[in-house]
Amino acid sequence: MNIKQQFKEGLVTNNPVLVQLLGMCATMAITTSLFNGVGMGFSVLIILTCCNVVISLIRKIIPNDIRLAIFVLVIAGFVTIVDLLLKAYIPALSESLGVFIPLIVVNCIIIGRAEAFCQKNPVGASFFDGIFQGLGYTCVLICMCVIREFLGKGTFGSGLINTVAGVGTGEGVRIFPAEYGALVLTLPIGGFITLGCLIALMQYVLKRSEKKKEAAEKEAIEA
Amino acid sequence: MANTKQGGAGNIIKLALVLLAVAAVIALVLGFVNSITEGPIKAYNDNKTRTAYANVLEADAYEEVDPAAYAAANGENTITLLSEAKDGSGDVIGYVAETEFSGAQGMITMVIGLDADKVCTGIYVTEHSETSGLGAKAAETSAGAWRDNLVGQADGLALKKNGGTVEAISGATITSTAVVKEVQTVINAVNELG
Repeated sequence: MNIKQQFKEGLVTNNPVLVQLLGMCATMAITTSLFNGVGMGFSVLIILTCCNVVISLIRKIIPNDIRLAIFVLVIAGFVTIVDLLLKAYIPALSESLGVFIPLIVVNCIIIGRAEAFCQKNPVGASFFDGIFQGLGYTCVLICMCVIREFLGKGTFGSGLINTVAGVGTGEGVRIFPAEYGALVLTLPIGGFITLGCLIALMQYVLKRSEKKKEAAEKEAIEA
Repeated sequence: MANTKQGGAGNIIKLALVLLAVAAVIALVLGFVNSITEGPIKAYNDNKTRTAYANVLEADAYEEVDPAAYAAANGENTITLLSEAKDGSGDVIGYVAETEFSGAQGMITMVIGLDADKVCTGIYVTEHSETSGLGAKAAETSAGAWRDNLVGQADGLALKKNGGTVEAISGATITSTAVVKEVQTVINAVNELG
């Protein structure tokens, strides 16, 4: 499996949220501002990559019977490290994400990749798997944030652009007055709906590209 | 990677030792990270508390009051620290209390200010896990936020629906009740000081 292939898989064809349907809880819950989305995305990327590397390193010496317990131990360790670092150096993000940082321990993407990939692959491949799956996750989060914020509140980049009192504050660039926004999109319902639409869109795109490939192959055979 | 199944007891001991080893290494690393981050975290929390104190009642000095002096009013131990607020010449101009009590979704940490006549000067929520848009409105500090309802309230605080004068947060009765109860507890404590 080469890096280009892994890149395509992580971002599109095997996207953790839109194709594998993992880690959806946090995706729906925190994507109400761009600050949250970017912060959570990169936190998960770092934790995922670190866990992937460590688990791939010890994959040959973990007894099979207790591998899940060890995965959870390693993941919990890294999540706690990131939690402490955020509390100390980016407290605004820690307060904004709240309980969803500790909840990364049970984010299915991390334990899913550990079980499906890192157990059987060398460190290099696992490292890139972590980076690209994390990037795929972050991209989905950013899409969700931009859509929900724009249609729900009429702003863009809240918490990151036009910050008033340090990073994490301020409402970003206001594109239209808040009264015209569909406030329901900033509530959990909106999260479900937006995510559903994104998954549908991804499935459509994948189906179409598959059909195109099949049509091209048929032509090649008949030619 | 896969172990062939060996005799029961020896195998279990081996598995337990592996788990112990992994957990020990992780605990060591976490201890190290904790020692680095402890300082900045404490500094940030202390700064938050100082901001909260100044926000509810500005004073030149805050002097802690002996907990025994208000132990009866603090029956449920929700007041973690009560201080007298003093001005430059040492006169008591009010009281500030740090409190920690149950909200709707978890514990709420809040600073409450009273002036010398035991009238509430404001509240400042420093930590909570209430629902955004509902209970979390108690933590809003913008102009015209819900907490302004509590400024000027005196002994005998209660929600309007319970015969008092404080408007509850719509859809967040539990949070509103808890906050009002806590402000009243602080007033009771100051009353007990005499």
